[in-house]
Amino acid sequence: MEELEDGVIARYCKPSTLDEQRNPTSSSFQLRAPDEKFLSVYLLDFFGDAEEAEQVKSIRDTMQDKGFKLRSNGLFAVLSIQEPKDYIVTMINEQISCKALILPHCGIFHEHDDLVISELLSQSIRNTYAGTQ
Amino acid sequence: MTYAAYHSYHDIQNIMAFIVPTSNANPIISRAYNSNKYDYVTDSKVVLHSISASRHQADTNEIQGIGRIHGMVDVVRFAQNRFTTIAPRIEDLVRLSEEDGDCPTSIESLKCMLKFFEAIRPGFYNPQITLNENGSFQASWKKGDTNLVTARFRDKEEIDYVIFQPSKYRSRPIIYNGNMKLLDFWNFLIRLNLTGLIRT
Repeated sequence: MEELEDGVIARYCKPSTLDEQRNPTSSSFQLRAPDEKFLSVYLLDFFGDAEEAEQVKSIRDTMQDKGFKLRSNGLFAVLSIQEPKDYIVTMINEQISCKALILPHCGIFHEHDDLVISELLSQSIRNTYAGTQ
Repeated sequence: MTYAAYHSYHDIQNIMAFIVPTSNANPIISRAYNSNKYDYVTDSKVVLHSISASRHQADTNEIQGIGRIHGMVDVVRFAQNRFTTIAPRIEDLVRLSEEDGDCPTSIESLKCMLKFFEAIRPGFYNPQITLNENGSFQASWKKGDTNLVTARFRDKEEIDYVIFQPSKYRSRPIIYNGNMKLLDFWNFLIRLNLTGLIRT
């Protein structure tokens, strides 16, 4: 798997993982099971130089084509790849990596405590978009 | 009795009265405190023998009562009766989970969370409550990115936790994380002097 060093990614956040103001929380960035290997994200740059909102729309389409149920009260959280990596090194001196799966699908991989990493990822969000249009 | 345990007893006796049997107490899994050689199991024994049974008997019964509830509807009803400001959020999350279909709700996690709320009564700030994709409930008290307490509730009264505590000496927070029994966790927060983040 190719490791991605830069670019912008989006993570779909289920409604129950959002806070009451509908902001993503650390719940939105947690692995579903202890043996899950990575956190699913999608690479916005895969869709070229389009506006970010258009790239997110393409990700919605991709996910729905795969049968993924997106909710209007869910959210897409947008992060750069590099910022959370740097932030996590600064805060806890741990490494995370973002690796290409079947693009635009990517995975965030780490071997540290999931609750800590998910909190730090949630603090690295730079934008959000509605779950559906 | 060590001084640490004696001190802990005085800290705790006026606040908590909900003690799991010491036979249920697991070793603490915490990098920070393992290295300091705190003995929480000893503390639990001290507290177990020190709490006034009469003062908190009613609340202790409430905690035991949660354990006897089995259906999700009944647990939510318990929350409605006992935690009026939090119950609507719990109802919302259960509803969202049902709407989503592929996101289960763990009744044991919900019961664990309610037991924790019982333990920290009376008077606590409403936490940010969320439901994780694996069905576990999570509560978070935050005063900012570097000052927070988050607990993820599991079955068997176990909690995964992360604490960011501001440092006086650097911009990065002091971070604690690990897993422990819910009442050990409350003792732990008392030791860290972090109860102000949670209690009104």
